[in-house]
Parts: sequence; C-alpha cells; structure tokens
Amino acid sequence: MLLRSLCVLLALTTFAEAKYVLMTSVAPGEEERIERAFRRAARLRSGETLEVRHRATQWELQQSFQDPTVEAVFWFSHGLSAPRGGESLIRPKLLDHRGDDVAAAFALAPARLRFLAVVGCNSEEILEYHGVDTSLRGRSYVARARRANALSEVSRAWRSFRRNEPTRLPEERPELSQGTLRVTRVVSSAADPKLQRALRVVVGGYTRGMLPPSGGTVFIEVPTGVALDVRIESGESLADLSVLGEMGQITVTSDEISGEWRQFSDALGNPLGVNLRVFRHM
Amino acid sequence: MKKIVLSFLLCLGLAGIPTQRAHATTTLLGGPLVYAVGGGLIIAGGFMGIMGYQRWVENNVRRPVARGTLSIIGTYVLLVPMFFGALMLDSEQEAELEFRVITDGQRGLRDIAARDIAIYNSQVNELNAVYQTVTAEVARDASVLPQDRWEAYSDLLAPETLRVAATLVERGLRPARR
Repeated sequence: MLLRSLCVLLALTTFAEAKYVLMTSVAPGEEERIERAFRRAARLRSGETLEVRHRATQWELQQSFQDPTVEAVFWFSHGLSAPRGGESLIRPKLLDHRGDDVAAAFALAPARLRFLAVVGCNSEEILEYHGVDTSLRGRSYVARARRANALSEVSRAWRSFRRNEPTRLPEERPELSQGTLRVTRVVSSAADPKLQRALRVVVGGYTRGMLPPSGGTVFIEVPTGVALDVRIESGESLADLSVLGEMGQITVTSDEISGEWRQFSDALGNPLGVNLRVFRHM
Repeated sequence: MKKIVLSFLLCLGLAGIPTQRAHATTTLLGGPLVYAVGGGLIIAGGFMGIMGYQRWVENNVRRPVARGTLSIIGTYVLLVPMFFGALMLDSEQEAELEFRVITDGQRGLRDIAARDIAIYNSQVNELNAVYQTVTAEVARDASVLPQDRWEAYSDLLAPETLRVAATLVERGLRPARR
C-alpha cells in the first residue's frame, strides 16, 4: 500500500515537473500575438507549465534541448526557402529575429523530447536541407509549410499526441564511437557580448554540438564511419559585415583519435571564412 | 589554373557573386506565392475600385463640394488595402549563396566527371570559406578586385573544385534550361 502511494506520488511529481517551452523569434508585435493564440489553442492542463521565450536564439533552443524537464518545444520563426528548379545555390534558412539561420540547431533535439513543433514557412524542406531528421519515430514532429493554419495544425497534433502519448519513449540507440572530440572556443574580452553568437559544431554533415556565445568547451562523440573533418558555423547573417560577432580562437583536439585538426587558413595563417571555420583532420 | 579561375570569375560576374533575393514570410498570412498573387490582386482591385468609385461619384453626386469630399475620402479608404498589398509584395529578404555537397545522380549534373565531383565534395567547406572571405574583402574595400582575391586563394583549392563550382554557378544562377 505504502509502495503504491509512493509510486502515485512519484508519478504526480514527475507529471508536475513536465515543462513545455514556446520559443518565438519574430518581430516584436508578432510575438505576443503568437503567444496569445498559442495559449488559447494549446489548452494547457493544470500542472503543466509553459515557459515562453521571445526573441529566442539557437543557444536558448539548445539549452531547452538539454533541460531534462522539458517535454515539448514549440518554435515559431520565419523561413527563407530556396527557389525551386535548377541547381539552386541559395541556402534555405530558418531565421531568428536577428536574421541568423538556426535550422541546423534542430539536429540537436534529443530522442527523449516528446514533442517538437517547428513552425515557419517551408520549415520541413529547410530542416531536411540541414540534415535534420523530420521523421523521428516515437514523438510527434510538426514542420508546417504555411503559417496561416499553423497554430490549428500544431494544436491538433499536440492534442492528438497527448491522447495517444506513448508510454515508453524511444530508446536512444548507442552508436559505436570512434572517439570524442574536444572543441574549445576562446573569445577575447574585447568582444561585444551583444554581438556574440553560439557556434554549431558540424561533424560528418550533422550538427553534433554547440559552443556557447561567451566561449567554452564542448565534447563531441563521433560515431564510426563518420568523416572527422569539422565545420564550425554561427549561422549569422552576412547582410551587414560591420556588426558581426567574434568567432574567437577555436581548437579541435582528441585524446582518443590520432592525428590533428588543422584550421583552413591563408598563407599567413589567418582563418578563412566569415561565419564559418573549417578544420581538416590530418 | 589561372584559366580556370578566370572562367570561374566570368561565371560569377567580375564584381563578385551576386546575392540573390528570395521570398521569406513576414506575417502570419502565408507563403511566397500567396504574397505575390494576393498582393497583386489587392493592388489591381484597389486601382479598379478607385476608378469605379470616382465614376460613381461623378455620376451620382451633384454638389461639387460633396463630390470632391467623397472623392478624396473614398480614394484614401481604397488606398489602405493597396498599401498592404504593396507590403505583401515586398516580403523579400536577402539570401545567401552556399555551395553544397553533390549527391549521386543529381539532376542536371550527370555530365560532370565522378572524380571531379568527389574532389569538389571533399573541399566544399573550404570552397565556402574562400567564397565568404573574398565576398567580405570586396565588400569592405571597394578597391579590392575579386579576381585578385580568387587568384590569391586559388592554390588552396583543387582545379577540379573550381571547375565544378563554375558549372554550378553557371547552372544554378541562371534559369533552368532542362
């Protein structure tokens, strides 16, 4: 009896801790409109908490993905798709309020996350371009092309998901690893914190980690069969080159993988790229 | 090598790779096609409405003062939706160019040698880094010539990479001819 009561209490506690995050990264006037409409459509139950973050960035998105109490993330922003036809060289983007491309950050969504909705024009196509798997089993994933009916679409999917919520979350299948990379970023003290961006660490074509805007170290487990070259990118808009953040000094090392990572630089040793850095494994 | 770089630059345009414009959403209304068609219809409808309204006022209102007042008020009222229509048409943002990995049998690129594609794919990140650097250098200093900067960095990239990139630029930035 006591054990059963404890189990019920534990279940209730777990339920009470469930947290949903609504993130918007659009124009200031739109944010409140989306929040009001979302609150109406989502029909939150008692005990469920909704954390709202306006003017969200990819760093905040990544932090939500890392928070074990967050069960669902709803992201609203604008999409910039490539024109159809031809071998287009236009990079499709999911834009945050600063015009930065945040699409590749969604590849960091953990398997334990129960529900993820990405709402923005052509978001599904954009996420696929950036190697984000939009057909994850065991959890609902909404990426709508049009935002006219996006809220009703998301709330319908959300309600349906809650009705048929899987009792067991999909298990994270451990992949065979060839080792861990240590990626370190040092930002100078003169860098303007307002301009600083988080940096995505892309290995084998997929975003596998993120470096904080203020600098730090991230450890990346590299599965077997994946190329060891590393691409670091901020996704920062290049529209105005005079107000770019500082990428800082970046190094890639590993205790387990032999060889070294050499930064792609010019003859004088200056790294090439504006919002990206390339490290080749030698 | 110089020949390849020059042909690459010719494809890009000597003033550097142009930034293209692509549609982006700016409100909750819908996608690019909806904007273009909707905006155009609203402007055309507004224009027709103003013309029709002016004719109606002309035919039905006899007092000159009332005719003038109604004419001005009606025109301004009809200009409002036309203004929003124009905003809808203007929902564009600057897009950025990026070279991407070529997948097997990609449409329109089957005539490129597999070896060249493999080399290009292995250097696609480096190519993007050089492209960004050249574009930034030219943007920051008007006296810097893009061909000089491409020439300076061309030794860092394989000739095959530049050759494939030139083909992509030539086919990607022009209307599809298939």
